[in-house]
Amino acid sequence: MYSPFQANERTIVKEYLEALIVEQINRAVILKGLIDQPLKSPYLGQLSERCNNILDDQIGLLNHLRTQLAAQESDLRWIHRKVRMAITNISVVEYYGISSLRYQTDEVDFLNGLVFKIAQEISLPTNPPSVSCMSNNYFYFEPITRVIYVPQAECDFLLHLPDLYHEIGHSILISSAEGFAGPKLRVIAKAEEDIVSAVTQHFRSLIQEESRNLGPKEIPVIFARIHANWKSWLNEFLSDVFAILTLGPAFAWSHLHLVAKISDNVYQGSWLSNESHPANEARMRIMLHSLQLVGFENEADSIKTRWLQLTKTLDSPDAYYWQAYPDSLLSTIAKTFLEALKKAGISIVSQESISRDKPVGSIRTILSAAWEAFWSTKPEEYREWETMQIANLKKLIQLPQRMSAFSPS
Amino acid sequence: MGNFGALASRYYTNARSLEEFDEALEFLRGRAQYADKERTTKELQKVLVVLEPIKETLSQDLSDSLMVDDFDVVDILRQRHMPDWQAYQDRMTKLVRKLAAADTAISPEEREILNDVADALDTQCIRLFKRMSGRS
Repeated sequence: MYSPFQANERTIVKEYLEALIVEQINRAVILKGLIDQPLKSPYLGQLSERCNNILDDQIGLLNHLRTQLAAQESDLRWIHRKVRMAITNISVVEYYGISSLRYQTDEVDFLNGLVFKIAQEISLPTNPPSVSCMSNNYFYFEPITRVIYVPQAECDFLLHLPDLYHEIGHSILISSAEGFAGPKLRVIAKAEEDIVSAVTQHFRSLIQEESRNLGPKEIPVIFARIHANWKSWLNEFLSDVFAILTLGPAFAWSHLHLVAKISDNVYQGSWLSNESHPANEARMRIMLHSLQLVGFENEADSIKTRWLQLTKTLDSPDAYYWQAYPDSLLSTIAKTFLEALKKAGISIVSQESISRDKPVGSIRTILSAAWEAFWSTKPEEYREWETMQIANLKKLIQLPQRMSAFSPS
Repeated sequence: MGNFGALASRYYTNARSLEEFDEALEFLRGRAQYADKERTTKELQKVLVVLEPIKETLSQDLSDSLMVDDFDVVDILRQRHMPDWQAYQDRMTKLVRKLAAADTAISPEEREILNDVADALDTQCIRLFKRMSGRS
């Protein structure tokens, strides 16, 4: 068999790989021991099982690789790659799974209960993700362990909790791409495929047009890079649209609030680098399109006014910006995704569903009311109102909800 | 606003594609493929999910695939095979055509090309993972 290694090199590499495999099996076993502890929150049972399953799979794989290593004609490149993959999977469980299981506080319990209730309210067609409040970087979702990370103090404030809907959007996109996704999730996966085709078509047209114009050779390369980045951006855009279509204007307000606090550029920093997030301006535009699709035209206008006031002094777009994020494409994405979410049976927000006339208990009503209160009251009055609402919300989420969720019907 | 979620999603998707690609390479290396035609077709498909977008990028086209960061993977391959990049591209394109035609008689040299692609995808996964952890 052809091999990039000499015979004596093969022996050395094999011995080293075997040592690496044994080390990683031991690590996975130790990590499994860290999972074996009583759960304080029933909501974390799913995460515990997932972490255990991933570790079992990695131990099984590593044992299989050890057997393969012993074979005369083993493919050492292949084995090394598989070992690296197992190491990364074990690390993900260690960094983004077990740490969450070892830190079970009342805040974690509350946030998990909150996400569970949101999932019920919006008819999420999949298990809700788990939540950990150990984030050191705002809200984010880890797709392997399926954990949403939230900053420590977030459960004592309402204005950024709308971001939970965005993270749930990430989780549903990951679930819909699984091979065993059910029919409702497959509708979402199909919509994503259609949307990526529309994005590709847009950039193909731009490149063809540039080629006809005989412009600088660099421009098609820039468009190809932007198209490649869109593969990452699409996930963000769709999670934004998901949050708007399930929660309403509160998510757009939350985004505006975050940009006011920490954004360094609402347009785009660089086109040639590998940017993981789309421009905040384009994200806001797709949110406004989505709001208009579900009857929140007035709210969209109010948000747009505030947004323009906020951003007009910050930055300005460059020559490629409007081609990279055309309005027509953003609008098509919002429309296509709305139809898919409807077909998937997800409860789409409406003026009526977030009306304050609704009985107390709807999370989306409370989060929407928070933004109304924020804009209409003085800061101290708002904080007083918010504190009272959080106390009510915590009562609502606590044990009765958990018991009903897990008791046999 | 943080980059973690976007990077983690890309990592997850690329890593899953690599896992399936490697599973297929293991199957195609064995003799079982000669007996089980249906399984061979399925495994070939897993290889092509990675190779087709790379071929499209090599031919200066844009790929629709969300399964692999073809643009970055091609960049990594280009850096690793710079002295004879054009010849390497030709060999790769020929191999993709061969596999797409369900010809699974893979030579040792062609197997190395498949390993090159998998190694480049593995590098992309590690880069994404390091960026997720803020280590790049």
